[in-house]
Amino acid sequence: MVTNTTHGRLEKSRPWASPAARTAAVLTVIWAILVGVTAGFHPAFISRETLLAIAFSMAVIGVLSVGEAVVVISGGLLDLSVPASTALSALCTAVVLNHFGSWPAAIVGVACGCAVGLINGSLIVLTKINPIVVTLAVNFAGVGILNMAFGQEFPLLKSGLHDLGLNHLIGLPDITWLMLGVLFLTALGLSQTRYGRHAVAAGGGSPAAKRQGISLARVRIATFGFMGLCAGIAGVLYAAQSQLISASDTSNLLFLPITAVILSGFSLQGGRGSMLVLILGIGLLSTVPTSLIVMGLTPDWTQLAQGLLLVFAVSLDGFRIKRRLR
Amino acid sequence: MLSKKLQRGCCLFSAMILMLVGLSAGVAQAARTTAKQPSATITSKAKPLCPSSSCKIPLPGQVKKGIRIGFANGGVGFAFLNEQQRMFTRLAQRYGWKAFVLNNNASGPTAVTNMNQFVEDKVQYVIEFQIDGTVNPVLHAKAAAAHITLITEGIPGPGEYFTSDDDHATGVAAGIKLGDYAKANWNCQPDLVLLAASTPTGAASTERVGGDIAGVLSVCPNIPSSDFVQWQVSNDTATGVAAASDALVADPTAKKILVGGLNDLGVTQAITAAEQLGRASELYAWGGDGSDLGAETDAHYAGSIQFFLEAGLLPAWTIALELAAHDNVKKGFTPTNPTLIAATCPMSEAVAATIPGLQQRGTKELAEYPKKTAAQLFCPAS
Repeated sequence: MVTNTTHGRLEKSRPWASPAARTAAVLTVIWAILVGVTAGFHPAFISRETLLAIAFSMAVIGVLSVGEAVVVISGGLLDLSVPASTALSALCTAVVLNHFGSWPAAIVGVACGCAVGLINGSLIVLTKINPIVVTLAVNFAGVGILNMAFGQEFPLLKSGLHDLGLNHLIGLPDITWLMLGVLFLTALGLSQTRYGRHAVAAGGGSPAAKRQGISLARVRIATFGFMGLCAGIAGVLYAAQSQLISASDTSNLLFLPITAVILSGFSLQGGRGSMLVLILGIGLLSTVPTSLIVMGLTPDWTQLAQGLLLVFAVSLDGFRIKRRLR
Repeated sequence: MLSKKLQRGCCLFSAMILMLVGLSAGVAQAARTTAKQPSATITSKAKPLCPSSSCKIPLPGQVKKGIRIGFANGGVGFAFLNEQQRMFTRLAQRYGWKAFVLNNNASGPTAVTNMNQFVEDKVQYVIEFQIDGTVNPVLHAKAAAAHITLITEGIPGPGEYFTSDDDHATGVAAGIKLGDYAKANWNCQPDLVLLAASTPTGAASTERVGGDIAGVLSVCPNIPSSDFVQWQVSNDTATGVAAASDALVADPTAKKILVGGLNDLGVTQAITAAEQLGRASELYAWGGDGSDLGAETDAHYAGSIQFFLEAGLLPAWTIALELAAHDNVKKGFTPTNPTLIAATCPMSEAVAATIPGLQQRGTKELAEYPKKTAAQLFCPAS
């Protein structure tokens, strides 16, 4: 299940000493300290309601983090078109939902996200331009087109999809279960399927992957397509929680998934990272705002704390890369 | 090697210490802030709505034609902005003025670029609707240097002509609705008054949320200040709902919950958060700007303060007309003392369902301008 790799090779010996295990330990300790300190200030923090609040906020960010993690692990650097692809998916979901119901809306929403991902992948392969530049451009152009095409906010009617955004199952929100399902299936796919191993191998080292006969172009298109799929699912989950949607709503969704992925030990050089550790990263990041608000701090402090966590994570990644090169 | 490790360790340790110190300072600051008693006084000095008996708005033919006027719209993505733009171009046609329309896209730098364009277009008046207060002095200076008269709709600047709704009175009206419900159903003993605020919005948020508090307290004066909790609304639903959830988690025993605040977006985000946490059974909400009225968003959303957002442009146009007709128009550039104020209207969901939708209202308001305002046309109380 754990896709814990070193330059494409699965690390099977001494799993407890692996970078993923160390990252998991560090994140668990930080998370425990955060929960402990908050509970010290406010004992009621440890409650089912806190769990629900954190779990709800994990859902959309979590699905986007899974897609971003696959892009990073395959050496595709980052996908910065997340706000546009998620907004497109959410808006398409809203439009179809109000005319045809929940299932067609969800299918169209996911397909729209997927389409943006495939466009990203194709552009990267065809133009051979840095993925960060391509996806940034797609994001700018995408948001502009969405603003022109949709022009105004869309109300969402009450529906089965809306219920999905509110209901719980066995103590956790429905949408969080969906996010966990996406995460576990992705972890399984990366470690157990040929495509998954190719993606990890491509991220571990392009020349070596080429020598093994892996088509880097196919891997790029597939990984960015998968990121689009995740953005599509995230858009549907976003719509499930919303009553009105406009094209500019999702601009905040870029920063947190990237932070979660880097914080969870995914190397920006590719080839390294664990989906199971990603749960800890997403959970920690989603706990920070709840903790700080419960302690009586303003949301500005949340941004500061999440920004510091990103700096910490990037520094840690740089340190790991340097150590590996020594 | 050891010394490098030591250096790195020291750096990390220092960063953690700084974070802890900052966190402690923040907690202390928050504790001081929450201890403050909310203001219960109504401080607004709103000017009466124009047209009144003393205010004669020029009709077409009473002002000269060919005046060049610009409109920098606030952004895209909201129907009321499109409607304001439509009203602007239609009014320019009616008065024979030359209209220049640009879009600020909710961005301060874009607003500055647009002002440069207006200077190049040699416009005489600019109606500026933007949300970034930091660039307002730049806009003001550029307009003054080019002898352009600036009429601001969103954020005011010293020496300008500013049109606004009365944010404080709006908040008070919403607060009274919340207070009335608490008095009738909970003997003035709500557990929590959850108010959506937005720091970047500046005075509009503080005035409206302050008005909410004053309104609730005017009906139920004994609600303790600790029961009033503000949280930050976000255009991004996921962020906004999560922030509202966090505010609810911070008060886990609260059941009787009143929800109000800056705008309907925030109010619906708070309702969603309460529904997600299973705490909406005794929730009563009253919106802040009427943007969700008629959308049948949620059963807990009882009503809102109808801003007639589509008509926001009309007072600014009125100022431009008066300036074109005569020079003695008083400058008013603070939220509590604007040149011209637009009337708002408390409206329940049931009443909202009986009035026309935004575009139909816009058409009617244009047809009746300048004889009647949106509030006079559609507010049942007026």
